[in-house]
Amino acid sequence: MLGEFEYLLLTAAARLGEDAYGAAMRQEIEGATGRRCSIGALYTTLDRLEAKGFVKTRMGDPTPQRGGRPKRMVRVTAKGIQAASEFYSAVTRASRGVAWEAHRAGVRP
Amino acid sequence: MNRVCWWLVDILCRTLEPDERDAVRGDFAESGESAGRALRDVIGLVVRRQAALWKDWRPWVAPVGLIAPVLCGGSGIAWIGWQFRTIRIYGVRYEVGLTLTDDVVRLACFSILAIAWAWSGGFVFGSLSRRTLWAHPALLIPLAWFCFAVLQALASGRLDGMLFWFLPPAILFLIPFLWGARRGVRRGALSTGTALWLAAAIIALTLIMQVEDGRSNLAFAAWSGGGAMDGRLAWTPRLLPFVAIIWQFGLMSAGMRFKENKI
Repeated sequence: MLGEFEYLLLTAAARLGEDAYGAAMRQEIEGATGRRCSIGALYTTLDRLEAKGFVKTRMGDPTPQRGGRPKRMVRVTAKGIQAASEFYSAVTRASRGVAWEAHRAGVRP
Repeated sequence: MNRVCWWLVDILCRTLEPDERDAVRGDFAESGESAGRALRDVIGLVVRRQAALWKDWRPWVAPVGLIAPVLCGGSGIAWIGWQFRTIRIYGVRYEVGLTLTDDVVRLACFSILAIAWAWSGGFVFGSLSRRTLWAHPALLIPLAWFCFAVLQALASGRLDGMLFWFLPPAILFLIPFLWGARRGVRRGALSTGTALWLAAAIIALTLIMQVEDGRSNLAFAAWSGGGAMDGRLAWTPRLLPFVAIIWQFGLMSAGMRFKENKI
């Protein structure tokens, strides 16, 4: 089972596709949650996901806007897609019928 | 202020793996991060990385690298410190019936032996602690000792405290220790041949020292006209350094091949 932040990372990486790397994923998560995402949390969680086999990372090419430094590119694996999908299903099932789910659907309790 | 923050960010980034360091510095450059936020972020990352490294057993047992050099090289440091102090206060060396040449030979042997013990102990310490080395609490012990001795000398306004006169030989001990630790971090293990050569050199010097100690004890007994206690050691403590050598060099060569290990 994934943790909440792990799920957010997998989702950001999946949405960004080929352009998934540290700074872009951070921006994506901050935009989606409205919360600050620290580099420490991002990179240590990425390592954990990689150890679990949910993502693969590699060093990209250096770019001038990064001061000639490379990006750490991220790709979600099939195992990662399955884990994220199971997490989403579990959260959706667990949320059925609760007040905030009904509110989201526009139904008043 | 910004420059200081970026300088600190650079220093802290050096504790990270090279790839991660590049990725993090690149992310900061690309997102136009403020210096304050970059510093806070990198501190968070370094703390998390260090905490992860301490989950391994090796940094916890790294201080074993200090045991053999302190036990086996410590008496040399004490003797050199004692001589420094005696010469400083009384203007003459502390004599126990040995000639000046004997004392010079003894001093040279003690110094070389202390350096060899310190280097090999540092190597074991470095190879076990790896990236936790420069933040390892055991490294604070000599620093605390240094500060305490200097403060004690400053507070009393006198330079005849034993602690203060241990400082010069202790610094001589500390430099090879740190050098060995650095090599230990980089290499992880010594080749068996190098370890054997180093062990043989330390064994030879230890044997010379034990013979010199015996001569010194006999000379002291003769000089005191039988008044001095018999300071000769039994066989068991004399064997202790050799046990330590086998143990330490075993660690350095066979058992500690962590090069492929990421810690």
